[in-house]
Amino acid sequence: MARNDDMNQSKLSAFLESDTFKGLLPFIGLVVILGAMYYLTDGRIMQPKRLRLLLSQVYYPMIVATGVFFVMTLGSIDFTEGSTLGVASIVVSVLSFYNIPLAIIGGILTGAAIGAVNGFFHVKFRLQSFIVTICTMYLFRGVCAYFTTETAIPASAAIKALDSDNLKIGITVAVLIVAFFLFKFTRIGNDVKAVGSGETAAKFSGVRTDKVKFLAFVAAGALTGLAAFVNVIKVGSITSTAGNQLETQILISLVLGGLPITGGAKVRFSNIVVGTLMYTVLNNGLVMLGFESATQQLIKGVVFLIFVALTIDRKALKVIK
Amino acid sequence: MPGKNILEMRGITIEFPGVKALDGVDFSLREGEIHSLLGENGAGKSTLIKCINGVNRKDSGVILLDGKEINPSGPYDAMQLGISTVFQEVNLCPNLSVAENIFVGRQPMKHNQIDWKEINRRAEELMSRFHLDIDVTRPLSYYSTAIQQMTAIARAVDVQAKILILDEPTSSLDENEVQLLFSVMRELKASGMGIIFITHFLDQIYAVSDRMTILRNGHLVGTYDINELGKVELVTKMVGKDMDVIFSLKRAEVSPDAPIMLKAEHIGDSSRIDDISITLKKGELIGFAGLLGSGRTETAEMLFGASRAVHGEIFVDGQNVSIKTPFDAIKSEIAFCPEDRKRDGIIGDLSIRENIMLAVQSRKGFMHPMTRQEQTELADKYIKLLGIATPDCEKKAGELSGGNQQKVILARWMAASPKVLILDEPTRGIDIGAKAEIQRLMLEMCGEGVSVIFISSELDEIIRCSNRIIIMRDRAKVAEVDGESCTQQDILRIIAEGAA
Amino acid sequence: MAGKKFDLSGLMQSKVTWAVIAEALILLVCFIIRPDFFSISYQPSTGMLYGSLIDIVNRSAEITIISMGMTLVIALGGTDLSVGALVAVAGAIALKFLRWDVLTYTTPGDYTVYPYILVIAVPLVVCALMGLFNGFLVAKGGIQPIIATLILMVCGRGVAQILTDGKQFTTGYSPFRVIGQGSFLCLPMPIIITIIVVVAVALFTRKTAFGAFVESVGVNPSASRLSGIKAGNVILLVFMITGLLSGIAGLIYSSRIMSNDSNNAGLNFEMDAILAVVIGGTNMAGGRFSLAGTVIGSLIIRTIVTFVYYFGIVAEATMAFKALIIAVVIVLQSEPVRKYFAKRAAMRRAGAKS
Repeated sequence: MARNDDMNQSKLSAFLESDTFKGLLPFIGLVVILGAMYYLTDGRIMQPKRLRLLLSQVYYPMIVATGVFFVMTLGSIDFTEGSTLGVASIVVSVLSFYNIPLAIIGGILTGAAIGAVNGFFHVKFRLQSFIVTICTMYLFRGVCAYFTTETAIPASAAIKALDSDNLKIGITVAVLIVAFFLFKFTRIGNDVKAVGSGETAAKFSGVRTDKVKFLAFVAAGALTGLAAFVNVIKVGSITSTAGNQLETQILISLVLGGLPITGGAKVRFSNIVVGTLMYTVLNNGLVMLGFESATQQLIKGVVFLIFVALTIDRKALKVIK
Repeated sequence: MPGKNILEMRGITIEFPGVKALDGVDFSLREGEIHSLLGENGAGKSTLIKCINGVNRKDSGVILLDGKEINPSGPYDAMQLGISTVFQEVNLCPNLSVAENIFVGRQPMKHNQIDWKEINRRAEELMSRFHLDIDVTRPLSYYSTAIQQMTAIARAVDVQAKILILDEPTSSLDENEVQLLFSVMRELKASGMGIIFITHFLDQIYAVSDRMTILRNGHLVGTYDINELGKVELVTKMVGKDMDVIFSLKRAEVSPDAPIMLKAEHIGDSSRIDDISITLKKGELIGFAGLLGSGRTETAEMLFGASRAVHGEIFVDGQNVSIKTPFDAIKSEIAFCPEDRKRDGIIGDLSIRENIMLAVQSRKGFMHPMTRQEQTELADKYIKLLGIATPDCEKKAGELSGGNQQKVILARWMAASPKVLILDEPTRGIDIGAKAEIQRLMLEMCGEGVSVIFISSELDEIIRCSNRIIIMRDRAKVAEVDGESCTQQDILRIIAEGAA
Repeated sequence: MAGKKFDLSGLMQSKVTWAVIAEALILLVCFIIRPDFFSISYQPSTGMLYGSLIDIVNRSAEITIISMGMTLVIALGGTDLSVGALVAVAGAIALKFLRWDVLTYTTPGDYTVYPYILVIAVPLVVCALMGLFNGFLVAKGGIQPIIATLILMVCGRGVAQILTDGKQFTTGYSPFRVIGQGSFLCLPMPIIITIIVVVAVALFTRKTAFGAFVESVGVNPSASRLSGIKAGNVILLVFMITGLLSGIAGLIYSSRIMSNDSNNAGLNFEMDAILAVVIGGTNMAGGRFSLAGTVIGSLIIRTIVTFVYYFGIVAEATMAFKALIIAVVIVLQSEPVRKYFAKRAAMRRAGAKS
């Protein structure tokens, strides 16, 4: 009899430890947080106006997170999102006075170029992505500060006129669909996962690991560049704080979404969407509840802690490349 | 009726900083042949195959594939040329599925998309060719090492290889699995594939190969037909000296009234080991025999506190001790050389000196440090005693060969002067010379009054060294036999039938 | 002869050597542009030495102190992102105790509300406990260090603000001023504190076996555990030390400005500390660490900043300029570059022989 209980218990704990359950947790978390916020704000968070505001804060982090998702699947890390967004936003703003398509392309190319710098140094000089991207973060923060400290850089009226939910939703959804397709149905997704699971193994299996790593950083940069466009049409002018702390926000979002920091095969595409939504709902809810920013930070930290304690994959305790 | 040569290598020389890893080596492989590559660790076997598949660049010499010169730039390039390699450490991604592992890097496409159905279908087909009926969509880590190994081979075979290189594929397989692998190898051979086979198990070489090539210190000793050379001659050629030592080892002498050093009563946890009792006398060596997964390692880990026993009692030298962590075990003067040398034993980036002093130091605690001089003296003593091949004790332990790494770990525990020493597969994957050395050291320690538990998959060495042999099966002790009077057949029969 | 040459090429492959060379080069450039860069003068009125070099060492104190702990964390194969936030927490607590009830003590002056010992001790204890919390999450919770410390990085500044009700206090209490602005033996006090910390950490790691244990756990945690090292305790201790050192840095920082600044105190310190450690030759993957290298790494970072101020390069570009030079140093230290130099040295030797 006792044995039977043991069995049941071990079955339950096996289920709680299983990948299926771990995969479900972020969704449960999102529902719980959404439910809690709905309850605490008496449903105000679901009012159309509020919902619009909430969504408007989702677009560009989600686009950025999609790019970073590929980098983190490799088991690498990218700290440059914020500064890339800043620099790319400046380029978009300046070019917006000439030609809007040119501005978009300019933004994407700027981001891609910064990503290429990261990828190049990471791959060619075998430096940890952590270190490379801290350096480039400082570098491009500096560049951003240099251009924006005295006066904010305005964007053209034409580009601001583009600000509409439909456009922003359209871009975000398009990015997600394309990335999902690439991740799920082409070699790219598999190769990235293989590198994250075991670089040597992937290399010996014929994956061009260097190329894959380089491209992932370029993609992360390019998508951040595209996000810069979405950011510019929303805010209209670029100050020195553009994209401040974005990298931390993205990192937290993806971890909340259930992405293992070591990357590899256990990543799921849903991590991006769930994580970004969870972060934004939490953020907005706390603002609506009228907490001071300090208390908000504290609550965010606690939620993050609870979440990490529940979801983290304890078996994957290796170092980040 | 020998087939034509598909691969010819002439005058291959590879230099690493400071050493010539290969010096003018010739090698050839025929169509439909299994060709064993032999030599001690460091003889150049791995370097040679890494030269064929492009991991290492040769400094001079030519490689001809079907008469055409090739210069593969890496494993991928070699694969395109029809040369597939299954590396020593299974180089797969444990958390991708079996099917994904087989096709990673070359997924079949349909309408620009990965064709998952096709992948899973073909993976199943391949595995069934190896007589394995498994769910290929499960993650690889779900399956045993043997199946992981088969997956690696399936992957290598599926790329339409002309040449298949198997680097120590059998080191973690049990007897049935080895037979399975051999039958697959014979089938592949019949289809005209040339197979290069590396192993440390001499019996396996004779069981499956057609020819063998022996390397020593980067030089070619010779290529022989399999029935041209007997075992003893083969070993002599490999190590370059007579190997009488190995056959002249003597069992430890245990007087009947020797005190009991270790007594474990009914230890177990509910999941891994049910209930096991062991007694070990002072200066005695007992062997643990049984298949992989029979509970040998689990028992050892429990005795050492690496995994926690839920019930049962352990007595060391008559004292009832509570062992919950390795630290407790070390305090009770039990030592343990783990099975996976790389993962659990050697601390690669640290020096030999630090690796050796670690257990002594950790027993003292960090607030009572040994001086640098004490450490060096200790390390030098054991380097000399164990014959560790190194210029000095400051060399990184990770740079040593497998056998020497094993000796360093052994030294770590000998320095801690334990009462009980548990050795889990101390001789796996190291060459014959080093194997004999380790067995000799083990027996010498018994002579000095240390009690030893010796776990090995190689029955002959267990029988050669043990006073008593505990046979395990399905996570329980099924029999205990006398080391002197039993034979391999006896043990195999007990393992198979589950009772004495 | 041959032995000597070999040593030289070994030196050229060591990362610390490159760090020293880099620092020397930057100083050389400074010297060429402004020969008085190295001049040090004595100011009798304050009893202190002045000069750019003194200033560099003085201003690098916070990063040097924090990076002593960070070196150990990185040697374990981890990172601590929370150190900057802890700097803010330490400042907040200290100022809170100095000016407990701001409504009663309306003007800042040369007084403290709570005993000075508490002003110093409580921030240090709290920071050490926060470090212990990080260590607990890593050692007992099995959470990756980068994520575990991200939690305090996110909410540490919030804690600091809640402690001070989001206000910025100032103080004029002179014993507190001594920590960041006082002097001892003609040297600014932060330099003295830095020296004490560096020596203490060096003694603790190298005169006991603690350093070896840290390296061992960093290289191979599983093997270390099986060798009897209590890896969990090593991790706890290392994170606690790092927390404590962040607290010391926080006191120095807030004493310099005689105020607390929850938003900006210690901003980006975690990044600077990590860079200092890496420039100093400790590998992010864990294992061997070099405290001396870290000190040089920290000095390099500060020298660059001083260089920028000193030569009037636009202040906004400081960060970019700093990043560029650090990038060059790190690239020079990278494995491919060192291998290239090693190969060239070998070829030259071979050439000389034949």
